[in-house]
Amino acid sequence: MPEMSLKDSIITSLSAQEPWPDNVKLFQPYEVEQILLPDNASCLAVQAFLKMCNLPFEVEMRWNAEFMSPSGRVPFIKCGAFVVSELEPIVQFAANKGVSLCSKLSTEERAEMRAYMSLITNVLVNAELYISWVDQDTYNTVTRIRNSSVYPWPLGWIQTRSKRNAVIKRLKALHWYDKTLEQVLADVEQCCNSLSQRLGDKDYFFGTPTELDALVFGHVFTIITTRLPCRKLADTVRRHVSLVALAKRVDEQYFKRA
Amino acid sequence: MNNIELDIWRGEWGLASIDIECLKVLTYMKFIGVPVRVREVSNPFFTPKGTLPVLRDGRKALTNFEEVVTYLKSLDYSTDVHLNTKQAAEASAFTQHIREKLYPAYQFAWWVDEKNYADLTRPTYAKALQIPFNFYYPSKYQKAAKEMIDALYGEHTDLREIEKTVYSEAEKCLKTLSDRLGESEYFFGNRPSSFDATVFAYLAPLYKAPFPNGTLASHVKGIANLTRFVARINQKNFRHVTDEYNKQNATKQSTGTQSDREAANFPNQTRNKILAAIFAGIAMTGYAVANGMFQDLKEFEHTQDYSDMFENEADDN
Repeated sequence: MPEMSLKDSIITSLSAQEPWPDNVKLFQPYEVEQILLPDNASCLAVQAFLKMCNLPFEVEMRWNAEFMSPSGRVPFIKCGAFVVSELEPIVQFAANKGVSLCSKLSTEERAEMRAYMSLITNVLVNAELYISWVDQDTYNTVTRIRNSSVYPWPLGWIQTRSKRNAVIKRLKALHWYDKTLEQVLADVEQCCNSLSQRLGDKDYFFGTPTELDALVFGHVFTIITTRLPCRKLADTVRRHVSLVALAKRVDEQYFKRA
Repeated sequence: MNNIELDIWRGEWGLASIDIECLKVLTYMKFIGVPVRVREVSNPFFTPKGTLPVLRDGRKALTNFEEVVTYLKSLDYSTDVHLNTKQAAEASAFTQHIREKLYPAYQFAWWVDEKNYADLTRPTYAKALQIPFNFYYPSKYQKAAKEMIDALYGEHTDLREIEKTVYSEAEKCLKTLSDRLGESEYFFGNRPSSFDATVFAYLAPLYKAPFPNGTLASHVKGIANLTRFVARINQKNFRHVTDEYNKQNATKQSTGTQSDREAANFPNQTRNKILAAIFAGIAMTGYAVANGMFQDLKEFEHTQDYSDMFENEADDN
């Protein structure tokens, strides 16, 4: 597609001229009252990625972050004149500025890394969405209350309904909605198995930290630290000791607010 | 083990089947070398889930690729025994990668792109289906595909914008696959695995089908090592299908007149004409009944009686 590559190359050349500014802001929903499991995981993944790259940023919490984001999904960063949302485009954006974590990787390793990132976004993210929005218990006691906490009545009720419909539509399209909780957990189990097989006893997936480690950290850490009525997801992930160890390692190295 | 049956969508353009799931299962069975009786089914209405393929072994009926792989593994038929645990993990990661990036583009090219749907997909599926299912299934599949694209890329309002995004994601995915394959014969060593069957099933239709709008197909054709990969698997496992197709094509071109070709494109022409005539007859009669035409006839008889009466009166006078 020539138009696409032209647009890409303009953005590349424009953004490459400027170095990473100091006043970069990362927008996300309120962590204590509002944020939901899937959003929290992706926000944490982006934060971990930026910290791994040593890029300075400030976290800014907004109740309407979701509606400010260009793609409708959180988190997003504002960097000079650019607004970029979600992990993959942000990684691309940083790479355009000459900051990359996978420059030492061979092309095959890079292909492998992209495949494992897909594994996470396809399995773990959908499982998180399933637990938060489809599992009745979790939806009634956690998701519904947190999601509507920032809106006045009856807007909260309407917004939660429409968001739930959107999530269910997505899960239906991907054939996740017809699964039972057991099938979802079996998929998660298989995904974690694949990840821990690949990780083996190394510190990071490819020796040094990459965006894959950031993504794994974001999801594993969020799943095991979020308290939900349905404990099964956390229990499934917690059984994979090497992944939990990786999450702790990243947390200690990059997030210890000493 | 000898009486495995496989129901699939029919083939076209030198492919064993037009459908990606059927092609996956079929390729996998070829890799294993299990004898299987393949049947081309002309409607998926009576299958367990309303979908094809269906693999039957005795009373067991399996309806998707993962189930088939697991089932055959339980019978000690598997192509993945030579993979170590790390490679198996990698295979499942790549399978998800294709599903996330390439599958939406594949569905878009077949069902959402209006030109392809009208000129290629709909006629092909209508030909594979029986009356009256051919009026129902293509639009059902199109609806499902549109819903998927809408759910995944709903934030873009313009269809052109979505098309660009979907295809550029697919292009990146194809590049990734090509990098991973390199110059080796199969993705994992020199023996085929279930992952190779998956990749083949995704790519082969894009090579063979004559898309009116071939953006995605041209991306695929532009990558040399994937082209060779598909040609290799096709040559090894589906040579008879391709040969037959080529032979048919050759005879059609040498001897076929305009009417012959038309007859080949539209089989059962006489039957359809008769059906149409019967249908038209029933419709017209129904219309006549609904409008009370036969009642009129009765009244007409009455009026004749009346006029007779009047005539008699006139005679009396």
